[in-house]
Amino acid sequence: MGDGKPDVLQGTLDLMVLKTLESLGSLHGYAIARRIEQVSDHTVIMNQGTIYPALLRLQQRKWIKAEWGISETGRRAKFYSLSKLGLQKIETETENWERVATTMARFLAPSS
Amino acid sequence: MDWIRILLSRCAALIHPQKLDADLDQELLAHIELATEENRKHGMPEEEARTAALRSFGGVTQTREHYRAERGLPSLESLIGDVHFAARQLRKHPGFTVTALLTLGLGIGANAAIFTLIHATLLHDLPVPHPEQLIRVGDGHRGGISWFSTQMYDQLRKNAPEFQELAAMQASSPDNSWLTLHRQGVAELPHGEVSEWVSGNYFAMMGIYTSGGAAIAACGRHRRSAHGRSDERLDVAARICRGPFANRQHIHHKHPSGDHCRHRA
Repeated sequence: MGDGKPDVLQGTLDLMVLKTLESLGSLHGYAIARRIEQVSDHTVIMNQGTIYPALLRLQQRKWIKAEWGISETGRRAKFYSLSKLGLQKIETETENWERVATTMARFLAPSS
Repeated sequence: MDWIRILLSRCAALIHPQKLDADLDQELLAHIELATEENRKHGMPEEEARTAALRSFGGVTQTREHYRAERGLPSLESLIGDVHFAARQLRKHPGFTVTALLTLGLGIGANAAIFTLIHATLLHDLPVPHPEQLIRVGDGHRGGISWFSTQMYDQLRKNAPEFQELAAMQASSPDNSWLTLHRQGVAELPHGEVSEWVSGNYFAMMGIYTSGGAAIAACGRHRRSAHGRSDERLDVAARICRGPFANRQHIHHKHPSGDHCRHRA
């Protein structure tokens, strides 16, 4: 199901989730969404719900794992954390993204 | 390797969709509750906190649909749904169901019958021990059939060691194609049968042997049989030919001396 967004944006969100889990450890969906909003200064996620299909995609690839737990406010929530495979993938995904970003930067730089 | 993991995960999701749906609903509900709590902590009244939480989440239903589409195999699920729908409709309209089944049954039956006929007459090999070793000699015209003189046949037979056996059959002779048969010691009237002339080695070439008595071997000895005075050997050959060969092969042999042996096939 395409959501009309270019693939690179979808990949970007996946990488943001991976990096968030890498730096903060096990988190539930809401915390991940909030963290991404804060780090990106509210420019990236328009709808927090978008995070769930991204979490599903990462789970399907076995890059992250999920288990039910209790939130800091005592509420039952699903917590996500990186798998071993996910840890390895962060490196390659980061390289991929940096390559794309560098290429785009060259195109967008004002021609001298 | 990712695609294998994704495919396996999607297949696994087909097993207990209701449980996964309940899981997802609980997770989304927890998200809204957590967001509402945080908004309340920032001083929003209850109602406003909840509305704001829902707004920042986006469409819950939309997210759920999007999630479900990525979770399973939507095309397979919709196919299963279609099959269920079709089954329900068929149960609801038995008249239509019977008509459709009859139409299908007759169509398939007619096709199968015609194919069986074509298979038996055109595609199936002759019912002899080694049909794949049989060839028809011809010059390529008239569908591989050629007319040869008896002299030519004898010449080929003597000088073509590539063939294990070479037999000849009658080219065309409507005047002589009826043979009057009368079996000795059987209470039946002599009757006419379509016949052909064949060379004496015809049955041996096909690999067909009689269970008793003898099929034709040499020629002149059978000449009298052609005139209705049946003997045991002719009777045996006639019985052979009553089976799968009936009306299929018309066989012929012409002796150089001008004598004929004749058999019904």
